[in-house]
Amino acid sequence: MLAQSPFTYTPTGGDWLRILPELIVLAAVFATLLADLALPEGRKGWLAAVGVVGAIVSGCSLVYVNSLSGASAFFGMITSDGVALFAAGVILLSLGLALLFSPSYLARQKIARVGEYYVLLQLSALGMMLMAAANNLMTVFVGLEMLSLALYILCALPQTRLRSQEAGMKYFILSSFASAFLLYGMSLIYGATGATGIPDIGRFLGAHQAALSQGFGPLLFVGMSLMLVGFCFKVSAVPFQAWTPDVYTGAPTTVTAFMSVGTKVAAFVALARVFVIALQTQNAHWEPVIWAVAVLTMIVGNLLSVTQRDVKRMLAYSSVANAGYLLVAIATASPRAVASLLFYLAAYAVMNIGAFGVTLLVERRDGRGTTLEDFNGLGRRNPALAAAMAVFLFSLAGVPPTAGFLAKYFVFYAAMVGNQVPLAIIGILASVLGMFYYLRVVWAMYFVEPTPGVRPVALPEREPALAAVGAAANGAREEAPESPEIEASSLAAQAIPVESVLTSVRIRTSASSAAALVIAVALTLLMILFASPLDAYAQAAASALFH
Amino acid sequence: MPESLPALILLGLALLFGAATIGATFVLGPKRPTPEKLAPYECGIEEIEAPRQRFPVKYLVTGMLFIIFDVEAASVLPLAILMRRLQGLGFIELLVFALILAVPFIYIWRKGAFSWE
Repeated sequence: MLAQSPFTYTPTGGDWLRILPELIVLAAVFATLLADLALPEGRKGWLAAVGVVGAIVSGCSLVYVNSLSGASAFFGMITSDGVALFAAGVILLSLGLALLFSPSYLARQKIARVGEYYVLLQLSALGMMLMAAANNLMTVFVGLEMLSLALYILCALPQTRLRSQEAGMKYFILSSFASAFLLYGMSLIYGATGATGIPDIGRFLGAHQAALSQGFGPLLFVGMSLMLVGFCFKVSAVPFQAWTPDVYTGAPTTVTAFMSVGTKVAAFVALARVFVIALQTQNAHWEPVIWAVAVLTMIVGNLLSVTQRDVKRMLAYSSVANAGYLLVAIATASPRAVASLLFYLAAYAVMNIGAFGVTLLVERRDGRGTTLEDFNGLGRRNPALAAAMAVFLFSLAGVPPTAGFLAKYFVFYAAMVGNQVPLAIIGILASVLGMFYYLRVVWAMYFVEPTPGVRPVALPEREPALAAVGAAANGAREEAPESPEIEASSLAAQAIPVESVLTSVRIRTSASSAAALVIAVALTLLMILFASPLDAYAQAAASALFH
Repeated sequence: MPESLPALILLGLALLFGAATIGATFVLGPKRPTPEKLAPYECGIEEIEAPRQRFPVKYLVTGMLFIIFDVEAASVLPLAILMRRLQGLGFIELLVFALILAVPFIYIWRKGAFSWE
């Protein structure tokens, strides 16, 4: 009998059971591929249903995997511990919501290759789940590449839209560069410790403190720095945030919504595993760096958000700011902080996808029309949509009793308790600054008169849009599946009384988008009801990580 | 001295040899240029059109799809060697692996990636 090593290890049925959620998503990917062949053009929206079913079944399987004893699988390459399952749940929820928003959005934006869109979206979710479940630097990297490769293509999917091509190209080049940093860092860590397993690295470093101060120290520190560069890029922390606004603005909005949340979940869980767990003993060396990055990210992210006039771009910068709050939890590095990180990710998922969801419903067919002016008077044009947006923005701003408030409360409380009081104070001040730009959108929606004639509209679809508005204005409830705002503004150009247009033209919300919005609003508002079991689960999972 | 020193020396020698050969040719070789010699090379005949132009990359797709079968072969062969150890589970894994390859294969086939037009 050979000694057990990764090369002679024979996986058993138990190993496969522990990646059941991932396998179900993979099965859904294949089902989507085959369904794409079977469905005729124009009915491709059902592919989203396949994906949603996959996400729900996979989510249910999390409960089963949670009941299994022991977590390690595939020779410690993958773990199905509480943290991984929690992250998988958040990722699957984000995937489900993004899929629900997709069919009407893709149709409206005339994005071709719908089948591949759904396949890639699910594959990137699979990569995220894998990265969050990775217990070895190699699996972290495989998961990261899997999610990134799918996202590069998704960003550039609208082939005729220059901004999307630019987004895909920028993301591809910069992100591969960051992956190289990460991989180099991993190889140096392997060189310093002789291990790639996250618990093994921690064990080695715990046992060889003295040896590290001679010889191997520099190798370890350079490795740590390079890995931090890679991770900071992936979570768009401040010295490496430059790609975020361009990519998030250029990518199709459903993709932006999903990647802004999913990538953060996966990357932050991996970051927590690598730094808080594997490099626990080196805390004194990396903590000041992450401290500084967190402060920079919070301040710069919030300051730059303030200057944005485009809501989609503002949300991109706000995701930089949110990365800063999450880094506070990493810098605190206690079980409670890791639990608050998980809770924050869950809250961030629902409120951020919700906010992007409203934005994509307001967006015009040419992928523009998401400026603050476009939100003017939304409260009267579509009260339900505006109310939903207000909920998400209040939550992002951290107003009680929303999910966002609880999330911020947990993170800053953990920082206070964990001797990071200055960090918590800076974070609270930064989020006060955040109030300004979130609430400015609310102000625009409810307190600013809609000014449709101001912005000239030059769109090829102008004629059919006008016809649709005419029909709607005549009381016929026939609405074309196009974006609304074009109609409002082009009508105003024809000097038809604004008031009558506003009452007749509504932003059309498809049933699935409406369902996604309702779910997101409900979770944002009601998270306070199940916050304590959720937090208790996160706390238990996080403390298990530390042993 | 690190264990990799011989390799580094070899690397240095190889680089040096390459650079020296090219450099020597450059310095020592006779240069008698004629207009024909300076023209862009196109199999000895005079160029018909500008050498820089767009060309179809259809075989790019074929080349990428080849990777599927390439990786399949590379992964199945070691599995055959280990089959005695892996027993029934190994066989099931092989079938699952084949299925994972078959689904995309059906997809690209039905999407017309194999038709040359």
